[in-house]
Amino acid sequence: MGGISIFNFRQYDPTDESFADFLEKNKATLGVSDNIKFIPGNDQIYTAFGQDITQGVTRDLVEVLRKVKVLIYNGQNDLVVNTPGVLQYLNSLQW
Amino acid sequence: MLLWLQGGPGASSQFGAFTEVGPIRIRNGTARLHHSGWNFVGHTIFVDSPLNVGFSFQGTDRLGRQQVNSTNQATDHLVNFLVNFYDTWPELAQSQLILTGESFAGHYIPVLARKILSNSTLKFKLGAVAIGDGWVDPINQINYYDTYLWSVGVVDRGFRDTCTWFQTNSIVNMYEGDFQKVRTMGYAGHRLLRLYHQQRHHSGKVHGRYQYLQFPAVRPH
Repeated sequence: MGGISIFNFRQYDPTDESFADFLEKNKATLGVSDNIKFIPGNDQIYTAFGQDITQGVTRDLVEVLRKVKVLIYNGQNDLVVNTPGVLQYLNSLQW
Repeated sequence: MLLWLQGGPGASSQFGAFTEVGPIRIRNGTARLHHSGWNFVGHTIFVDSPLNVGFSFQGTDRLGRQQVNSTNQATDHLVNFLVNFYDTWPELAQSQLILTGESFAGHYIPVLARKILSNSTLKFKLGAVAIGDGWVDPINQINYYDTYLWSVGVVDRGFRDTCTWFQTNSIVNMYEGDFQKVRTMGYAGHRLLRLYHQQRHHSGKVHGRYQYLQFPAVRPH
C-alpha cells in the first residue's frame, strides 16, 4: 500500500504493471531473442535526460500549430502534469 | 495511422498498449480484449522509445549500448523508424499519420511533428497530433503544485508551502539556466509527495478533505 496515485489522486492502488512480466514471459512468441530483457521503465534514461526534462518545446509546438491540427487533453485528477499547469502554458503560447 | 509514444522519459510504450489505449488489456497478468482501444479508429503503432526501453535495442544486444539523452536524439531515431516503417509498408502511407502520446511525450510529439513537417523527402503525411497530460513547458507547468494539490485536498498547508518553496526555487534556477538544480528539485518534490502519502496512509492520521477521499463512495471501484 503506497497511498494515492500521483497520476490519479482518487485512486489508491498502485499501477498494474503486470504487462511487463507478461511480455517478458511471452517474448519468444513475439520473436524477441533471449538476451533482450523487457525494460518497462529505464531510470538511466530518465537521469540522462536531466537537462532536457526542464526545457520547454513550445517553439516547436507553435510551428506545428500553424500547419496541422493539435489536440491537447488532460486528466483532471493528475497531480503530476496537472490541468492548471497545462492551461497556464497554453494561455502563454505565442501563437 | 496512429503512433503512440509513452512518457518517462524512459517508459515503454507497451504501458500504453497494454494498460491504456491498445486492443488488449493486461491486468494481474491476464490478457483480455479491450473494446475501446484506439485500433478501432486506425492502425496503432506503439514504439519503445528512446533506445533501450522496452524491447528496443541496437545491434544484437544491449552491451556497449548507446545512451540517448535528449528529445532531439530520440526524435531523430523516430524519424528513421518511420522512414523504415513506410518503406516496408508503403500502402500505409495512403492515410495520414497522427502522433499521439502522454506525459513526457509532450516533449517528443512537437519536436517529431516539426521534423516531419519540415522534411520534404518523406513519403508519408502528418495529419494531426494529440498530447495527453503532456510535459511541454516546464517553466509554466511547474507553478501549480501548491495550489492544485491544496485545492483538491490531498495535502495540508505545511506541504502546500513546501511545494511553493520547491517550485519557486525551480523557476529561479530555470531562469538562471541551472537545469541540474531544477532536476534535483523535481526529484525531491516527487519523492516527498510519495513519502507524504505513504506516511499518511500508514499512520491513519488523516483529516478533512483527505479523509473524505478515503470513503468507498468517492473511490473509483
